[in-house]
Amino acid sequence: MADDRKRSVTKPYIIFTVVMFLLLIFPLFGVANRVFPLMLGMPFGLFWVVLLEALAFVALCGFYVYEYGKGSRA
Amino acid sequence: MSNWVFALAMMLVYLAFAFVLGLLAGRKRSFWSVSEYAVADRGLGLIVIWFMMGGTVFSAFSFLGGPGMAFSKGAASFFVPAYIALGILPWYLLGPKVGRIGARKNFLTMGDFLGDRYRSRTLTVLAGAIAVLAFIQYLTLQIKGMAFIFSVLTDGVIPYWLGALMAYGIVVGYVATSGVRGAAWSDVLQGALMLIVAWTVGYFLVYTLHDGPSQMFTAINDARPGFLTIGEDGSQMSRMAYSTVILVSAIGFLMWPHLFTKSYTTTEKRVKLTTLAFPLFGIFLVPVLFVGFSAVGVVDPGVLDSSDQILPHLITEKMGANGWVYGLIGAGALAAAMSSSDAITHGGSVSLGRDVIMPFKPDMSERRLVWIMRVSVVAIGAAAYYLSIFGAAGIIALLVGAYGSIAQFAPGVYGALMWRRGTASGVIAGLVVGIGVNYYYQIIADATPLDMNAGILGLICNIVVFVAVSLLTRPVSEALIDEYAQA
Repeated sequence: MADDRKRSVTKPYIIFTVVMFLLLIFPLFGVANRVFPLMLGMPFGLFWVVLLEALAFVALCGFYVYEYGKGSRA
Repeated sequence: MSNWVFALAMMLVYLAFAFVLGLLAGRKRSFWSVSEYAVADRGLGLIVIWFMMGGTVFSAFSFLGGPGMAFSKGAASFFVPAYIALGILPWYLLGPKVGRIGARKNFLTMGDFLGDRYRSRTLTVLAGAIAVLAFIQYLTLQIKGMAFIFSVLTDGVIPYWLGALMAYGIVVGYVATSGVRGAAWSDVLQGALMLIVAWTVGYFLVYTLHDGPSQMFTAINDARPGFLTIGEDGSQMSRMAYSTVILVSAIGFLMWPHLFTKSYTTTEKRVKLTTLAFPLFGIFLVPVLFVGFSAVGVVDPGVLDSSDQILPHLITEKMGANGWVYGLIGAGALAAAMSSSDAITHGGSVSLGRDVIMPFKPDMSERRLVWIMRVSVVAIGAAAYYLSIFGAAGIIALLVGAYGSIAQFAPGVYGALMWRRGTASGVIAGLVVGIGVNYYYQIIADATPLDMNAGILGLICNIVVFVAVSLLTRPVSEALIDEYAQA
């Protein structure tokens, strides 16, 4: 049981990591490579980095809760 | 009273406090246990681990190099928060595996891990030696930062050699006596302090020198079009250079050998919780970049010897005279430099004792090994101190080479867990070629093909050689491979 569960996290996690990498380097970072609109006072490029970091944090929390939260293996 | 007296007093109070805390952390623990010294008997609490890992990220770089990069290179500095968030991500899967194998086999270092999987003592020693050289280079940067801060904020009353000696001497003192616990607990104090200082100073400068962040960035963009983007007219970095520096920094991030040691200090669940915090560390760094941006168009780059001096310059020239503020910033900056130095000094002493010295005398007693590690703290400390104050061109080139080589461990480490055919000869040949290529493009050549980062070129060659040589040599036993592949 525990093994099944682990395998199911591994694959989505790898996809998540690769997507994060791709969004922060070119060519995909190209969509954010501009100054305007300024967001929270930051140039859009910097805001993009901060936004993805915030999303990464949320996603990591999600993975963690899924693995260790209520009703899963202790 | 003049400002520097306040500044000095506050920095001294801070140093005394950090010293006492570091010493107390190791009290009532077994002084002669290697496992206690190196991995705190694998039982450090979560908050402490967070601060220790975070402290290593926020080094002197965050107060000197980070603002300097934003000031001189503009948008290229965005790579710093980006790679910190990315670098840690694979650790969520990798860390627990490494930790499990490490706990089962009583590993203390990355050299243990590589040497055992590939059945090669040479590899252990090689990994240990590269690690120690890279650590010394890292420490040299931190010590220079500490000395610089002391000197600037006390108007030169405390000379370079004395400032560095006081701040770093304290680090060496508590690491040698209290081991990883000393490093970890003082990092909690240092981490909290430098975060508060970084945010306060960042926003204070933005609102004093400009009306706010939006006005500041609009003004920068009007004055220097392209400065806030990558790879356009007026930008300071090409798209390829930006992408590859993120990649190589993120890949190299996990290969710092002290991370392996840290993963042995804790449980699988905690390793995963540690990963969680890193994207937040990246966000915490953003105000540090604001410091550098606030000086664009305000400070003429010509008045600085190097862009790393931008924060001290702003404090002394633009922030108005308030001794308490001086002192607080000084303490925050020292905290940043010290919290990285202690973890790295500790990691270096463990690597030197376990990976470099022990393989030549495998039957050494535990007491003796602990003794060697504690002496290593002082030896590494003295070497780094000497190099940062007096320098030595030839050695510095060697250290810079080792520092840039850390990412070259990646194929061997990932190969250990994922690729059954990897062999010691493959890893060693790959390392040598990767380090050579990296070194050539970093130090000797003027430009790299396609403006790619030297480290990435090294990694590509490294992987090709690793695979080719591994396929030509005999793999290690099936049972051992299974143990790593299925950990």
